[in-house]
Amino acid sequence: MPRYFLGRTIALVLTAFAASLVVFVAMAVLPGDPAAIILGTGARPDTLAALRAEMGLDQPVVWRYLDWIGGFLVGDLGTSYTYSVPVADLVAQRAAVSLPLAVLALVLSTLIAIPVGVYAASRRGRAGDLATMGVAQVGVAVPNFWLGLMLVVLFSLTLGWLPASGFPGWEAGLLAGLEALVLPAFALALPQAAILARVTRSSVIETLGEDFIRTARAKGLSGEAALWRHAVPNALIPVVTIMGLQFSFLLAGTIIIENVFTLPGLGRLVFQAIAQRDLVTVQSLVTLLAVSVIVVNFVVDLAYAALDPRLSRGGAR
Amino acid sequence: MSRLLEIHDLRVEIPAPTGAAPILEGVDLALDRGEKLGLVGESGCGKSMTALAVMGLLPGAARATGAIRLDGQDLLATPEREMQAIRGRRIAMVFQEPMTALNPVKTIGAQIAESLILHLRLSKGEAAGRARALLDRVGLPGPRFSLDLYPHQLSGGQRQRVVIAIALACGPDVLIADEPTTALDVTIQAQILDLLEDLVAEMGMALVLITHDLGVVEQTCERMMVMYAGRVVESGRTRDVFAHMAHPYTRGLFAASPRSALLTSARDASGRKRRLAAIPGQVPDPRHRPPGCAFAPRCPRAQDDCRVAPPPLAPLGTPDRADHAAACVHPHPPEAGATAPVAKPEGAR
Repeated sequence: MPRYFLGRTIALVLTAFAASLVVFVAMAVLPGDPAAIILGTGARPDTLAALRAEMGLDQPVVWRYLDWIGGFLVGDLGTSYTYSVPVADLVAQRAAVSLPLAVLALVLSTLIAIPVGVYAASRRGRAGDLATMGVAQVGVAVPNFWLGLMLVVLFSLTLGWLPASGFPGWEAGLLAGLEALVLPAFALALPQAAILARVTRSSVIETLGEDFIRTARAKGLSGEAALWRHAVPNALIPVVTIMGLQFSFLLAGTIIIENVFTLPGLGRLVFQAIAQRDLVTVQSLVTLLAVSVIVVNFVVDLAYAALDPRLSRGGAR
Repeated sequence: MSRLLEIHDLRVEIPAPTGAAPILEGVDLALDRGEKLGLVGESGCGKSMTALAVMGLLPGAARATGAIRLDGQDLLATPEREMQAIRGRRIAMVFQEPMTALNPVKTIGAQIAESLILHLRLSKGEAAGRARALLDRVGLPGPRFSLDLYPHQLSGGQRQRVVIAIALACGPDVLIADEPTTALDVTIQAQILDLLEDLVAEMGMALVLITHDLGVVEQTCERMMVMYAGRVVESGRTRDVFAHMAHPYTRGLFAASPRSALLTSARDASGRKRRLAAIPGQVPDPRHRPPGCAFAPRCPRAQDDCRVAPPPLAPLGTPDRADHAAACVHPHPPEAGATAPVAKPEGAR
């Protein structure tokens, strides 16, 4: 285990640095001078030069990278050009919405998808399988913003159970915050659950054909017990991969849902920063998101090791 | 008094759009405690299907008719829930592929303990203690072979020992070993067979040993059955079958086995090097078996009357070989058996 863990950790750090470099270089070669954008086209050259000096844009590229990444490592993500507040504060504010939303959506998606996928696999080719997979097929095809709108129509406008949009902030209380996130979380979770259920189903079906399932049945285990105790733990290994990918998407890819529900999340922040040429914010934010994706993959690797002893234990004979 | 395991007129078929494909037809078998029976034949002859039918683990679509009685109880008429109490407890099975027969994400200790907890209602601690004793018995002593090992940490032969420990955990009455050594190195094969033989003797179980290796049967089993295309074509005491080999298929199987080359001279009378004699042709598709004897198209002794109806398994009536039976219209006469080597040469094992 320690060797596997160490290897993964080194890979994590190296990948994160590579990601920061790519983002920085992309931003550096991008046409357009941030200082000129801030001051507008009619700015006088000496004002421009003064601002460039203040922003550090007159420094060599390598120095600018080191300056930025050094700050990044100690939590200083720079200052937003447009909001004139530390990017770190902006991110913290937005992450307080996006992170719980992503976690909630992932939990919902998993809680729905795994039982449904296992059920469909256990009834392979029969009515239960066809029905659930039919629904899943529709679920995959439905865009999440449309689903979000339908949920709003049903639960907010018709039934009045949940707020239709906006986020009151966690200061308003845990319940109020969660209420605002339930509908967007479902809108995100259901299409993902549909994909995850299909992956789970095919993985379980494949595992049910393995010899060790027959061994389990020959021991006297019921089909049900062989399914849950022997097939599912093996079948979850590929499912975890998909869950990792989905969580990465949920962290920052939720911009449409954030717009539908007017949630102040990270997706909208990225979008606004790009639209306003708030380059420091974009640079730090994109790097941060890249790092979070890398961290999620790291967690997935650890989950593999927990699920599959072949990875974590040596093959010593 | 009923036998321990008795199969009567077992027929297994898999329904197909073009008409049902009979996998097994009219298989009869009887087995007493402490007896070792060899089931021999080529791949696809129905050996494994017979085993799975006894276990009640035939593939979903397969339909079995006839009777499989364990101490008089018809297993084919036994509901699935009761079968679960019999599987692993009274009838256990060892499989061919030790590399895949164990669950890769569970420790071997947990996999052995599972049936102890299920059938004998042992606590986890008791089951672990019993699992330790079983591992010791099958030749995987602690502390080197801890209960916490995973299958991938063991070699093929070691894994097969674990599979055997799982099968023996609850002290079954019948052990079905389906090609238990086929996937193993030759040097390991003999060890595993010895282990199985010792355990069967020690625990008083009955053993059904499925194999395509006639030599293994000759060494291990008192009685044997040769199967071809879903039917039993020859059966009897092993030494009688080997001494006579009434069915041309049995002879073909023997001639094709590498062991026959060991038992006979490597060179024939004219000094040319002998080759293993392959049986010409192929096992017929279950859906398109010939109307008569299924072996007729490949048989050197086949005549027109072989192609009329499948011959029943009938006693050959040889004196002192009461149980010896063959399903053949034109069996080899007993005296011709002298050409087949009878005696085990010294050190053949």
